[in-house]
Amino acid sequence: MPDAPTYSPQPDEDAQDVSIIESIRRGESSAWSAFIARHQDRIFSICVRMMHDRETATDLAQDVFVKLIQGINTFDGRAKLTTWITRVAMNVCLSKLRSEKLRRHASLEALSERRSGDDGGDGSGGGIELEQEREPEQGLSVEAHEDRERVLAALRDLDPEQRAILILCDCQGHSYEQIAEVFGVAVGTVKSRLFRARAALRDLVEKLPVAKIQPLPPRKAYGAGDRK
Amino acid sequence: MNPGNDPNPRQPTPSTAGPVNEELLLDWIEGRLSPKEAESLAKASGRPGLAARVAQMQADRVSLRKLPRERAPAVLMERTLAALEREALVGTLPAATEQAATAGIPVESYKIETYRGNRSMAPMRFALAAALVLLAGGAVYMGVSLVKPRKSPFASVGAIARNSDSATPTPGPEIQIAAKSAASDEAPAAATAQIAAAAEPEPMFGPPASQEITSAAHAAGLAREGRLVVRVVGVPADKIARLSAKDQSWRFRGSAPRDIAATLAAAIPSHDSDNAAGDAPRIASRASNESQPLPASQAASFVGPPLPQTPPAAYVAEIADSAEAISALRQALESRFKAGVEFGELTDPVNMTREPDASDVLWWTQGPSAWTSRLSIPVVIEQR
Repeated sequence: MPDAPTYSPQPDEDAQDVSIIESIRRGESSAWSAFIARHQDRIFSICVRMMHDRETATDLAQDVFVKLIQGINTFDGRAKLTTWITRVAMNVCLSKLRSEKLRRHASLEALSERRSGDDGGDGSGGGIELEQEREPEQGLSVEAHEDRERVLAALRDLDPEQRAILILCDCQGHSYEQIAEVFGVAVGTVKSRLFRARAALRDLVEKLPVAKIQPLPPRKAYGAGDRK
Repeated sequence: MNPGNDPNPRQPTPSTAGPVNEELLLDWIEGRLSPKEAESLAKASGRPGLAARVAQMQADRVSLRKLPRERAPAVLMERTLAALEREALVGTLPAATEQAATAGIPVESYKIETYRGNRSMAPMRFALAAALVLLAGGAVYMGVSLVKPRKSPFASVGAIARNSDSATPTPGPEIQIAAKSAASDEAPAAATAQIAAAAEPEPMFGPPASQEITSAAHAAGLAREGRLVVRVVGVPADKIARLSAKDQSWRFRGSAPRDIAATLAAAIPSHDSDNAAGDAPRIASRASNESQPLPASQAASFVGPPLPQTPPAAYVAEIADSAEAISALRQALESRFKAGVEFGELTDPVNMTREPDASDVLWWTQGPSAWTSRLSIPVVIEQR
């Protein structure tokens, strides 16, 4: 079984994080760039998995960094920096989803409409093409690729809180303790929620009609500054 | 799964043969149960499809864990740094971090100018001086207004009513004030009237000489007493009913009341009356729209040329209480309609009382030129 990507920092990385935070607190502007460079992929990944839209995820990641710098003095070091960052990022995403009432609104019908509307387009507008935009990976069978698309489609329709716990556990590789710390609940609660999230995801996958999951044409580059 | 990389190692559980709970199922899904433990758990659950469902959930988990890692776009760094600088300038960042935002910016470009004595007092002093000038101007205006009071059209209506109450009209206080005002304007008005008189081929209504209307000021005085009548020859009556000056110095208010028309008919002789002496004078009024015989006792004397046979129409004109307004009315009628305008004097005043209308109540909504007392003058329109 392949290993999940984990972002748990090593001890020396923790020390670097502490040094960067101290530099920020001292007012060194160069520390901002270092701080952003170290954590932008993690934050952006959380945002993009939660929002399924790269542009929105970019905006939210920016908001997350602003909130982190604004509250840098509130970080007391008792929790891991990654946990604190994840908590802020997840709160921003959940707030955004609540405010826009995106919860459960991304129905399969809308998904199909948006896909048909994107035909011939540049593919840069919506987040639905987030995963479909890629060509099948090397070594990934068509069947496995379709399974992944179905899972992603179901993840979009999942309740945001359940989506969040799945992303933190499976996509971010956080431990139960870290997830519990992020959400401020007990580990047992995390396990219970995680199981229910997996069951809900499975239910949604089974409800997805196979014919509606169609790969989109390859999308253009995200932007001029998109990193390759 | 490599157990060494599992962030959630399985905690020792008493037995997998116990009641099936979510924690055990989660361990099963996440591969922390051995095949034997999983088999026993499936048996304990009593659900034949549980193993297959767990396998599907494991596949879902694998799909999620195999998702490629997303990398942030390069614009994120630029946007975030720009946003942080904006926040620092706004002041929403902690104090220590504000220094970071402004570290590379020259001090002069963002330094806020603070209080520096007399320099910052200049705008305040200027505003104070402007306020004093405004106060002084207001005081002067109020003083001038008190010295030279103006009356609303209500006063005119009241004055006319008083004139009608007494057999021998005595001007009320409002008329006296207006007379003073007219007297002060008498010099220019007299000059205007002299020019107009020089242009007129014929004099106004004729003798007696003591009552000859020689100037606009004289006409204004007669109008205040209610003894002025204007005779217009050659103007279509339907075009004059609602005529008014742009500056509201005069305006027509429609047909004269029936009794006024009758009085004028008795006062102004017609060809019929000349041909048939002793008959009561007649006048066709717009208000009555019929000929009315008048008793001889109500007939006032009128000096002037006889009217043609076409029955005249009587209207009421309201003018500002000034000689200029009378001159303006005359010039307007002459220039606009090429009509002949003559002023006549009635031996007895006519009662021009009318009911106040909205314009009387809302006189202050009009322009300042309308904020003056008004005189009502009967106008007899006579078509050729």
